[in-house]
Amino acid sequence: MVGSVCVGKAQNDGTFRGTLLPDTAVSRWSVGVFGGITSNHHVIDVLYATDMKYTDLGGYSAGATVSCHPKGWLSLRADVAMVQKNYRMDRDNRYLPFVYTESSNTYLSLPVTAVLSLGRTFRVCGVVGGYVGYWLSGRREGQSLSVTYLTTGNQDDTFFDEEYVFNDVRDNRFDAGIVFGAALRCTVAKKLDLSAELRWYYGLTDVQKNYQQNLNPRYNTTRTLQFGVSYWL
Amino acid sequence: MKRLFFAIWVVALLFTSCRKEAMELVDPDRHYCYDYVSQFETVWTGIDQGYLFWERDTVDWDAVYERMLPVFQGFDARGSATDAELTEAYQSMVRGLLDHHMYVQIKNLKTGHAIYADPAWDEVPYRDYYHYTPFDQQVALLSSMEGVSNYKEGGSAFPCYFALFPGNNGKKIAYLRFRSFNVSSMVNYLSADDLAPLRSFYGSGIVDGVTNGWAGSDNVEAVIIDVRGNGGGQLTDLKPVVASLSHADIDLGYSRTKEGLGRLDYSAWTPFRIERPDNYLRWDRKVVVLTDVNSVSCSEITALMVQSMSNGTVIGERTYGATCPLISGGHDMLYSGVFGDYDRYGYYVYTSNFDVVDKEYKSLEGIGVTPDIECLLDFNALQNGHDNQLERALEFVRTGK
Repeated sequence: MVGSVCVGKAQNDGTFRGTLLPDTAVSRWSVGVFGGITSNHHVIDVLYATDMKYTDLGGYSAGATVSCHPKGWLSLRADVAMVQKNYRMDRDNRYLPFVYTESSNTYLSLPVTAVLSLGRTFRVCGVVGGYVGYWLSGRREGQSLSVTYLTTGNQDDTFFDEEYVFNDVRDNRFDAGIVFGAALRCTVAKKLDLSAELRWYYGLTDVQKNYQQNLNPRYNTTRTLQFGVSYWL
Repeated sequence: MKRLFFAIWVVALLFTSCRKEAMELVDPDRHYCYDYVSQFETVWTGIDQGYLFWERDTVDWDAVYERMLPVFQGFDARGSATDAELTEAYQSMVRGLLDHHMYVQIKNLKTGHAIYADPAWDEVPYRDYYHYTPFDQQVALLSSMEGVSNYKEGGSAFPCYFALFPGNNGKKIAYLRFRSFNVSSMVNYLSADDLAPLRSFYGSGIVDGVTNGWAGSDNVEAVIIDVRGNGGGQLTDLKPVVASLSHADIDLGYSRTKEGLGRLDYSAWTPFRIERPDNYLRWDRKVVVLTDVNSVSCSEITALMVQSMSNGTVIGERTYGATCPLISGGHDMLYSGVFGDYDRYGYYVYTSNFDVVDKEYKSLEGIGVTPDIECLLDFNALQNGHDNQLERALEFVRTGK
């Protein structure tokens, strides 16, 4: 994780000494960038539609971060990130073996987290916080049962690959939830840290608006593995 | 501070329980109902989840539930409902829905009788040009019309009619009429006599052979397909019966179906294209479709197909408005469309499971296909031995106007 470094800076003698504290109003700051991969789990109870199989799909995440380090073991971090929350739906139906949809969804996420760090030059960190976000764009690709197929038996016209057009009645583009994770980071130069972080975005907002009485909720749970670099100011 | 950090963790973990639970829903395709309320709720739920037009429909379906539930609770409270009361209740429930294929069939738990409700009943009969289709009267005139030749009619297994009318310069106008689109499924079971009209029109290989009948001969300058009073049928007919008259594939627009149980869970739009068969009629002459208010479903798609041909013209009346097709047993496959089983569960709902729009994403469901040349049926002329709509179609072929 980037920018979640602990207090102060690593000393040449291997000790890790807190030098700047909140009550001095001169907490240290760091900034950084990160990028990595995502794996999203689309949470939906298919109810009696048991042949609809949802599976996780990969994507990417990338962003920038700023951290404030008021204590040696605690930092507060704010990110701005692009996070993909992708998933796939297959129809496990003998009449529709070819039907599937891959949904690629890109979110702008703004997580704010508290980071607890243990260790010195090489540090283990725990991360917890919340995020808000916005569903920026989507894309759908796959095969669908079409009238053409039923009429002619020809599958050529069953394929689609298109930008997703949001439905203002159905789609809830506001996204919020909790975020938690763990990170490893180490100081590799005087003002430079490298990090690796495993993070979960646990969505608490339904991806649909409450537009009908019998609404079956859908959520996203997104894991990210991201690598970053941060610079101490 | 450490306590604060761990407090944040605890609060975060507590938040994980904030997701809403999934609904508990019965499968409306197969649900035993023992009272009027459960019948109503099952039918309401099936339409709620499987109805195809919620994105365009103006009916407030949640409000329908709130409005109608007390009615059915009242039936249960007194232990009965008359057939008329039940019909009115379900007609009120579906009133205003766009789907002109839809009908609801319910077994009255008290009387054991079937009652029906149909949203199109509240619309189609109130059109100022609405009429029943005098099918038998119209076909009875065919064989005696001026200049007619080669008249053939099929048997009761597949009522079908063929005739040749005089065209220009000694050429002929081939005419074909049938009650429903079941050619593909029936062609192998029909007798030679039943097949005679079809073979006269298309040749011996209406489905999979070579079309070399009258319509393909040099002596024919135009064809008229008459779908007045034709209630539709199988989509598989569209390729051999209609697209075979085109010299190119027919691109009608787009179709989509449902992809989930939410009202607005739709699949992507995919092209609605009817391929021209290999054995198409290699010609480029006039193709006319004759429609009336009772041309439904496949008949309407036929009109759309011919309207999209450069050599095609639709003559007659605006059609019924059931332009979005369906497949039987669709609910198991698409979680939309037909659901229920009247004999087993006491309810059955017939409804579309493909939304179809044209190339500009405009839907004709509930509206119908507007003819290029409007010609309303004249019953007085019919009584006097004239089918004014067919005569108008012949006039168009002969004069180009």
